[in-house]
This record gives sequence, structure tokens and C-alpha cells, in this order.
Amino acid sequence: MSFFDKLRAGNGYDSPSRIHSARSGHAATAVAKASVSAPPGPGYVQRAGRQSNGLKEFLWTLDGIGHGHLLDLGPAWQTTIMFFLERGFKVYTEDLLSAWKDFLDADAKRIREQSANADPALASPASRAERFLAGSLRYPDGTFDAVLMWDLLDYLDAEMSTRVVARVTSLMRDGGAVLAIFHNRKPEGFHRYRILDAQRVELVSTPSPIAAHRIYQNREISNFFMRFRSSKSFVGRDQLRENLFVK
Amino acid sequence: MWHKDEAKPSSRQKEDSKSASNPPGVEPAAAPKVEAVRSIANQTVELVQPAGGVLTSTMVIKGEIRGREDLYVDGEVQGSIRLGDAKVTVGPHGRVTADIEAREIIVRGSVQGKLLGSDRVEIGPTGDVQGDVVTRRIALEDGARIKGSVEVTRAEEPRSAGAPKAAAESSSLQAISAHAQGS
Repeated sequence: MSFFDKLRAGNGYDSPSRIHSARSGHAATAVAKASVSAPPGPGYVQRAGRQSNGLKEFLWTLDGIGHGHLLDLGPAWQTTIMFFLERGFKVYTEDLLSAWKDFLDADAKRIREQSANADPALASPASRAERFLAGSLRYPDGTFDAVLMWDLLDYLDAEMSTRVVARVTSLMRDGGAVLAIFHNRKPEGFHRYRILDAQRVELVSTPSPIAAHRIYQNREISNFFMRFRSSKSFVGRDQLRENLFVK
Repeated sequence: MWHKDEAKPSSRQKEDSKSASNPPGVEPAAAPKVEAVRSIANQTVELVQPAGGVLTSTMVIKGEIRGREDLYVDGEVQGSIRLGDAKVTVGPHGRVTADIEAREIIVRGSVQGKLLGSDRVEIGPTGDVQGDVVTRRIALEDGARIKGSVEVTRAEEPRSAGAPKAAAESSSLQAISAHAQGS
């Protein structure tokens, strides 16, 4: 039984009839309106999760990979990890946003302590990003079949975002998929994401580790992932854009 | 006067009453164990009943730990921990820079190294693991941090980190060197 068959059997997942542009080898962009049901109350989203067409497409893309390698750049959630472990994946987790926050705090402390002798070049975004990535995302090139990026890029500065996407791109195998989320407008709160099942993602409210938040335009997002062969975007009523990129 | 004897039963009577409440062959219930309470920033309270070896928060061990008894680490360990059929618990103050190989591994503190749990690995809300996790069953609580891979093996696929088998090791904990840091 293939990966997709398992999903379909276990979760009632309906197979899309169209053929992926990624598999045909042509770059294409498809924008679809996600059928996101509006939550009736504040607690509803937490309990029932959010219908995620991006996740469905992501899983559809991974169908047939078998024992693949997946990198989750969000927190280590039991449900997300088990979801992919049960489907034969080896799961890597690296909470990049928390690590970035810790790095920034340590960097600020170091600068305060060396206020007189601090090298101003070290405080530049490029230097910060380079030093941070010297200790993060250290995997051999072509390791991963799938990456869950969530809304990480919305909380990084432009320099870091560019470098993170470039690093992730090199870490992925050809045909691998990235699921990323972008906000269309400034969110009211900070959320982490965890997978409930093959169709739903739960948004978990947590204190925001990074105050800065950026809204990217479609062109900027396309530039980030310019080395990917295809992309699909699903826009929800909650102003979340789920993007699937296939290398 | 004679009522004193009735009020204070003899030692023989005490033994009788003891044996009456506990049938032959059954040991009396053990006294309740004293529980240790740990906390970090008043956010986490953990009840710990250490059994086997205990490394308290002021202890630092550099070297290899082997054996068959459970181990509770609330101090610092640098090297390796191989307790093949036992349980290793890294307490909230524990700082381990070592590969850990055990039947069951519970992490509440920080670990830099590979976790090889032949039965299960549990990482608590204050747990921070930087290294790969290989086990048959895994439990992650919200807040747990892992930087590394997670791999679940089947029962018929025992993994080995290339270390000597712990079952053949000595029965007690052995540390090459231990330094107790004074307060």
C-alpha cells in the first residue's frame, strides 16, 4: 500500500484527479481558493483544527516516496512527528524560529558586554545570518524529500529568509516538496502549527518569540523559491496563504 | 492496674496481629517512599522517586557510565551512558553531553548526544535534545525541543550504537572519574 493509499484509507482523503505540474516537469503556478470553513468561535480552531488544502497537496506530492526524510522547521509536536513516522518517514526537527530567537538574545548580550570594542560589522543582518546558519540546518545536500517550513519566513528578516530558503533548497532532493505558509495581513496572534490528520492543521496560540513580522508579496515569495520547479498557492478565508513548492 | 496489660498488648500479641493482617508469604506493605519535588522557575513541578543511581545537581562526571541499574541524572555528565536494560532519567537540572543507550530514557533537562532507547524515549516539556533519537516508542510533551532526527524502529530491528553490550557489564554503576563540586 502506497503512502497515498494509507492516507486515503485512514482519513477519507479524496484523490485529486489532476496531474501535478511538478511531475510533468514543467514549472507552473496554480492559485486555488481553499475551502476553509470559518471558525465560529475563538476556541473552535484549537479543537477542530483548520482544513488545510496545502497539507493535502503536500501529502499528495509525497505519495510514493516511501521511506523518505522529512524536516520539520517548527516545534517538535508529538502528533506531527508520529503522523510521518507512522508513514515510514524519518523525521528531523529543528525549531528554527526559537533557535533564531536564542541566537539574537545571545548576540545582543554579547554586544552589550563588548559595547566599546564590538565590531559593527558583526551586527549587520548578513553577518548575523551567516553566523546563525553556521550552527543551524547542518545536513548534507540532498537529504530531504520534504520540508515543513510553516510561517517561519514571516518572522525572519529579508536577509535571513533568503539564506534560509537557499539552504533549504540545497538540502532537498529533486522532486522534494516544501510547505510554507504566509500571512496576507498582520496576524492578530502568533501561532504554531501541528498536524492533526491528513487534512487538518491545528493552530496553537503561543507567545511570539519574534516581535517583527513581515507581509510578503507574491512576487517576493516567488523570488525566494525561484529554484523550485513549481508552486501552488491556497488562500484561506483566514488570510493564510499555504504555498507548496516542488523542487 | 490490670487494665494496663490489656491496653498494652504484649510483643507476642503484636506479632500475631501483624501476621493476621498479612497472610503467610506476603510481605507487609512498604513504607511510602519520600518524593523529591523539583521545579524550574515555578513552572514545572516534578515528582521523582529515584531508584538506582542518582547524580545530584552538583555532580559532574566525565567518562563512561555502564551498568544495569536505573540512573537519575540531575547533574552534569560528559562522555557516554550505557545502561542497556535500565532506565535513564535526565532531571530538569541535568546537563548531559553524551550518547545515552538504555531501555528507557526520560529527558527533562538538556542532552547533547544520541538517544538510543531500546523500549521508549520520553522528552518532557523542559527537555532539550540536540541529537538523533532512535527508539521503538517515543513520547513528546508540548514544549519539548529536539534538534535532530527521530526514528522509530520495529521490535525485530534492534539498533546498536556500536557500543559493547551493557548486559555484560558490571552490575553497578561505574564512572571513570567523578568530581563532586562543592557548593
